Amino acid sequence: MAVVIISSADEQTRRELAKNLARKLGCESMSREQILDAATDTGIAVGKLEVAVLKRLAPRERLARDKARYLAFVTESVCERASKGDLVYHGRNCHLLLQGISHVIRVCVVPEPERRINNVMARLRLDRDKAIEYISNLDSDLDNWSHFIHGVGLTDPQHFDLVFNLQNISIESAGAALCSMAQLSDFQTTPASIRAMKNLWLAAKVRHKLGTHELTAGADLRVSAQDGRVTISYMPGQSKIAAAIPDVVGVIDGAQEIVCTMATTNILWIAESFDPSSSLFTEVADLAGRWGAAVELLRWFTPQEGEIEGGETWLAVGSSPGISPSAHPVPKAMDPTGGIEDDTEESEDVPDNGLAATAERLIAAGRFGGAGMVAGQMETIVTALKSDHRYSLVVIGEMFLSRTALLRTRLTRDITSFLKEKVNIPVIIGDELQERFLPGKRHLLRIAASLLGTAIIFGLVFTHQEQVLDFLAGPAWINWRILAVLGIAIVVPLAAYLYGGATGLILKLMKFE
Amino acid sequence: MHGPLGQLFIDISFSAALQIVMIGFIGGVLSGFIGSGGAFFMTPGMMNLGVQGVVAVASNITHKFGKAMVGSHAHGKMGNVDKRLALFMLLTAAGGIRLAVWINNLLFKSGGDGHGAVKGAGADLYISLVFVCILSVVALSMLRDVLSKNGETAGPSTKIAQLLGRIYLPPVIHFKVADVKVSLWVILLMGLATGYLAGTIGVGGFIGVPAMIYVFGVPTAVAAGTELYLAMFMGAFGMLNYAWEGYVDLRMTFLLYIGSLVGIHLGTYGVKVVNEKMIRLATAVIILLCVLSRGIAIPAYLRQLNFLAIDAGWDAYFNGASKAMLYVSGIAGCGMILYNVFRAYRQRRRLQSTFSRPGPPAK
Repeated sequence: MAVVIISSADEQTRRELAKNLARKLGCESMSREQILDAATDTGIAVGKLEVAVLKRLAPRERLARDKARYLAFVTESVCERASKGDLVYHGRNCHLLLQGISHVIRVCVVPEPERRINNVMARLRLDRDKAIEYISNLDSDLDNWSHFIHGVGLTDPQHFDLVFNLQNISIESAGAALCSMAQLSDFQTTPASIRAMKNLWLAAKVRHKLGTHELTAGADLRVSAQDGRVTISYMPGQSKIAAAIPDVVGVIDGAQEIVCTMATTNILWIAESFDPSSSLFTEVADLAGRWGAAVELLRWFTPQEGEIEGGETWLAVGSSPGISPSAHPVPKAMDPTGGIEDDTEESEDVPDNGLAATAERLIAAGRFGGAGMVAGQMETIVTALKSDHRYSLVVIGEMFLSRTALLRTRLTRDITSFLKEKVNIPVIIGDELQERFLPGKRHLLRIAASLLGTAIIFGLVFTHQEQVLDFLAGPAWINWRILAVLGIAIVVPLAAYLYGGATGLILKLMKFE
Repeated sequence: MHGPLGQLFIDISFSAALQIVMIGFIGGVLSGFIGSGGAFFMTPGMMNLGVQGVVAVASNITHKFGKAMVGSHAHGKMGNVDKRLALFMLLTAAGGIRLAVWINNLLFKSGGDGHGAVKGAGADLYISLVFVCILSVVALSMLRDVLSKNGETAGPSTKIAQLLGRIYLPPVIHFKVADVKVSLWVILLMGLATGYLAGTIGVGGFIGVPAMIYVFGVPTAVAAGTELYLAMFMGAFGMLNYAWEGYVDLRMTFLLYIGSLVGIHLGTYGVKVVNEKMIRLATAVIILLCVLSRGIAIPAYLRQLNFLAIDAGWDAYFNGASKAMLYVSGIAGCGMILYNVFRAYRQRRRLQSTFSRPGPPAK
């Protein structure tokens, strides 16, 4: 079963290539425009959302709800069609839709500039200069839209499997090349990739349903699914609707269990192996309790051949922890045989390394936010983190277990640095969690020292009020004006730092975070 | 307090100190809850205690410096600060503060010139008028937003925001943390407005945060963190300017800290547990009541400047009514927030925040 997704800014070009390829594969093509019509029929105002995003008519958080609903509908529609057989889908930036599904071929088509200009001139009856200006504005809008919807730019090459420049190849040849490519074993379905798509589809169905029901339409919900377990997190301010969520979801094919978690934010815990009896689990759960956060588990592992020189580049594809952490797609680059080998049983047998047990413990602790497995590329996680602004912390747990202790430490540090560089979310190694975020004995010492410092400063000021004010603004103050300003500039931040630090730590000890 | 110092600074009795701590605490709770400086409550609160307007603004902006320093440090750890954006805004915000200090200083010194006008009344009137005008627009915008049927409108400021957001006058700068591209000229204009308001009434955040969200398209959390980072520099600059003129009352600043640095944590916690619509409704109502409170005090300043011919004895009534109104709004707002905070805190310990149910059987 082949799923080919063609992205191009020029509608006519992509439509022609999609039709050509669909004819060769003997399947139907589906366009973004068809889905948008269907979305509009179900009450999703896509045009309004586009205008709101491009003209910044509302804060991102408000748009995020509409975005989630829109994305859920599109994902659901594409997954539904793809589940029935071969599919050629084309759109403007649709290659970012089914991330983590290894049998999907993502194609970028660069249209011929002259042809594109002529198309616009003919369609919109514009002169050449206006058409060029229109195309330039359109590309800029598309890039902004892609940034908002998927967190990455439109032309970022790492999200494509193939790029066609139609200045150098005809549509007929491009179609033939794609038809051949679809036969490669790298792009054949595997139980794992089908499971990944089912997870994505299930999450999208649930999110779409919640987005259309009057009770839950206005709620900030986050939905993920894995192997029949649907995890929905909601904000504490919306706790009244929580009990209604399972009823709203109702009967959805594939949904075996619905887990609802109240969370103001999310902590992403990435590890190769999880242990619910470890101290790291206790610390993560404690921190999640303090922050009112849900913990998302992501079992991330590198293929055996995964490490390229320096350990900085990782192979294959992964799932998005954003809308739906999915199952474990088979890493493409694990396959050095040209595609002639069994790729099903192996992927089915990927051990969960404590993932399920940890998820159960988190559910019991009331802090479960979803779980997923991914082999390979860190970039996919980066994309998901960038497009989702609800993560407050990324914790890197046990990784690279097959390596020596020294190499493991270095690689873990490398991956932490890589993520820190790419996303604006704190990323820490599990060992640092206690020291950085959880209160301990040293905090008591800091509180005592800070309070003592504060008492000294405040005591001096209030027992010498006349002298202090005389120094700051008295009749002769003009003579030492600079000193007075300097005094304030030193004493005020020092007092704020000491007292603010002490109050913050005391409230932290009281779990008021 | 005697002599020239007595004209500028008040005597702080134990009762006055408690009131300032309480003002700081309420301001801190409101500040943490609303996401702005809390000066809309603290500045008039101090003025109602008899503090000169210019001293109240100076002490508050000094207090804001330290508070923003602590707050932006916490936001920075969460990756919510776009330092580059803040520093670009600071370029003109400093000019805005300087302009505000210059006007305040001019008006303060021009009062009490022997023609019957009370020292500082001009500055007090000016600060009160700016306060009433700006915050009325802010509160009414919020109220309209909350009361709109579908909650999709973003208030009257949207049209201006759209207009400014469309300006792509080069150079256009990309800010990585906020992930937005904005024209330098729009940033400088917003910086100037933010600085002027911060310097005049201490509420630059009411312009800075919405500008970043609606005009620049910055995510709310990053806008709040960046505004705090900017506020730290603006507070420092304002503090230096007012300290240079000799208006900072260090005692006031410290007393405000005692309450505000506790209150801000509780207010921030409140944001997490109170419904979003309720947050905006409460904010709008609290600000409107603060505006009303300041508006009540205006006739007294007009009389002191000889613009209104009423008995001087009425000053006490105006001031008293203003003070009562401010305290009612502050205490009611703060009470509502704290009620929700402690209720949620207790519930959090009892409540199982995850529940799991088997999905309904498939047909």
